[in-house]
Amino acid sequence: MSIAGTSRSCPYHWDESQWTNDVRLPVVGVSWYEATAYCAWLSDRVGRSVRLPSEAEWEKAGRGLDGRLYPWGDRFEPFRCNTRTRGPGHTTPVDSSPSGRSPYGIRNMIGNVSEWTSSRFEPYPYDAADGRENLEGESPRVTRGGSWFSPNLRARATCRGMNDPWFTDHDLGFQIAGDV
Amino acid sequence: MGISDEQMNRLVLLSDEARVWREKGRFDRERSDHTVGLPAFSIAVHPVTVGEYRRDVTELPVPLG
Repeated sequence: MSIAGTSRSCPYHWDESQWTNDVRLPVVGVSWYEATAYCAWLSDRVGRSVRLPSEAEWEKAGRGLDGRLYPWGDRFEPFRCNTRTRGPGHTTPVDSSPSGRSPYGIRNMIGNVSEWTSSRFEPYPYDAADGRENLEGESPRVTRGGSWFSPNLRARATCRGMNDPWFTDHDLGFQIAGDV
Repeated sequence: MGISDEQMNRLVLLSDEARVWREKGRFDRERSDHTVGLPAFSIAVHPVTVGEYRRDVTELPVPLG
């Protein structure tokens, strides 16, 4: 068995116990291609569309409707998330930091792991119809949220990271979304 | 979505690092704030976990690629 056309059978870092020794840890070491393939497979399995969120969807889920800078408000509060400022230096279970929940109750949007979005990295304004949501190609994709490794300024709901779609790292995971 | 000038300037007041970011144009990729219409969607309550990924990938019937 392989992952997304590679010769690998598991994510990078899977054999390093600090990233996998608790089933509640966010998965890391997964490329954008692999995350997208996982969503496609899960869609077949559950019988409805599962996909990566667009960066616009991610941001709405993280900020709510009042345009706050962080899921909990407008000031950085390190005890609400796992970042370089106050975190343990690695990932933590996704049910940790409950006070960092977004207005919609979503956890770990800031810190712990950065998350792949479906969106190509293109300049603002965001326009879903301009091709940035096309899943083909090798253009860099937007990552969001900052991670356990991020300094404060990168751990904001508006901050846009980007990586090549084949890239993997031990602070990069993903979230799943779907149509209603 | 995006950061407003007011929010960026507030960060600059609180942090020397943010001042450097503004001077070097590092906020530019997230400026300026604008309204985006979105169809209804759902999103998971947390990132995909090791347990979920391990279970699902183990159950994969065929290679994904």
